[in-house]
Amino acid sequence: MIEPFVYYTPAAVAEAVQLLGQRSAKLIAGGTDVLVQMQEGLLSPEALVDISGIDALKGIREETEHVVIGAAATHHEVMEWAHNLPQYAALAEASGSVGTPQVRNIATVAGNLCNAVPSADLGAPVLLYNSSLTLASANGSRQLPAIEFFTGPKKTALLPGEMVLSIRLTAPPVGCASAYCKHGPRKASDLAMVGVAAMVGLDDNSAVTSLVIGLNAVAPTPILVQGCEQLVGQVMSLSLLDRCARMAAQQCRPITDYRAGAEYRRDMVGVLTKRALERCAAKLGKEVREDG
Amino acid sequence: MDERHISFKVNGEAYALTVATNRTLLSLLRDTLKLTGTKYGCGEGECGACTVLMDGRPVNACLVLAVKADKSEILTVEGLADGGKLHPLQTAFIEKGALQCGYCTPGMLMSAYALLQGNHRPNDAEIADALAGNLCRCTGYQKIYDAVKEAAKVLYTEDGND
Repeated sequence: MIEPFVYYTPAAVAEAVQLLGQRSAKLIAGGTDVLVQMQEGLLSPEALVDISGIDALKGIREETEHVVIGAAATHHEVMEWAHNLPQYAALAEASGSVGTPQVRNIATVAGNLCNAVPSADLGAPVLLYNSSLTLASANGSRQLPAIEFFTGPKKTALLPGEMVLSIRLTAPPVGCASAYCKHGPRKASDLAMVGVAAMVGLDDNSAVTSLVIGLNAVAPTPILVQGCEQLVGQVMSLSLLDRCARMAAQQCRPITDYRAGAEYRRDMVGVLTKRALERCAAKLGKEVREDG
Repeated sequence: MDERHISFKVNGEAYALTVATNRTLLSLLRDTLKLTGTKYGCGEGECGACTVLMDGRPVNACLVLAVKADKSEILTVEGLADGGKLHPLQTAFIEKGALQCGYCTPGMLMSAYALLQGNHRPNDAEIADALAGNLCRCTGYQKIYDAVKEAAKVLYTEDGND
């Protein structure tokens, strides 16, 4: 049973931020996480502000140098949009691994980020694109780099009364492909024990032109693997995969909990890092070379 | 108690009614409209027993506020049969033995129905993906996949549509 609440359906962002600023209100878009918490009695807000009807927050918009994912855009919409775009495949694959088809039809990418659980699938993929979030409150709006948005497990940089309007991705250079590899107890409807997102650019000789790796569920927040830019120019080879896997495994800070042990998670970070890079190369029509 | 007036269609029939904002679509369908084919399973979007189509897409009715159905078209398992004639999916589920206790069946049928709208020849992997949000603890799924393929055959090949 859900405790009674006052339900608002603002038609514009200005109205939404006024409502969020004035009351003990909780924002919903898809509502798939908030409603479960309300049904379990973990959350009983006085008011729900449903932003899913605000036109300005709907859909995905491609600009010259950027892609803007509105706060009301669902996982299903992201999957459809990125379907044939290898450079954004990490997003499509991450959205496609969230929950079930039923959940993906109403749950949003922005909601996944705002929950900020370490296992949230969209965290690392969003970080691949040097993304920023557009936030708004009754006091105005601001841009925040996505890497600064996540401050801890279930914690974000959102201030009281503030909401996400959109996620702004920087379009990767031409010739990049991305992938998201997730490891969980079962394929459908499960949380990630480890998630690895990668984006790779290769030239005609299979030399790396860009390389970014992001990790989910193995630190308090999604993280980027540091030092990848130093590998630009190297040939996509088995030894390069090993090196990336070692860097990722060294930099992650997994915990042991009921879903997996820290050591196991660290091992899987290495395995999935290689797998994600191999998949990027395959999408670019390149093979990972044997060494020597 | 906050209430809203909503108007929507269920299985083609128009409704206009006032609902408490804290009710779910599942409760509205089952308790008010007495459409009890849609089942309550887990109540948290894991099992899919409450799957209905909202504007053509499968959703968990337990995770959708009734007020969100305003201006939408809902299809429930009761809307599949044409009068007294079962939908080919329903016939195939019976013929292939794709149900035992039957509790998951309405949700399975709705997810399968949505799949077949966009894919007239699904293979096992595509069916498994489409039904990934519907749990069955009896059949082991293979007979459900068989039934969906059989229904696809009946729907889209015999009359030369595909």
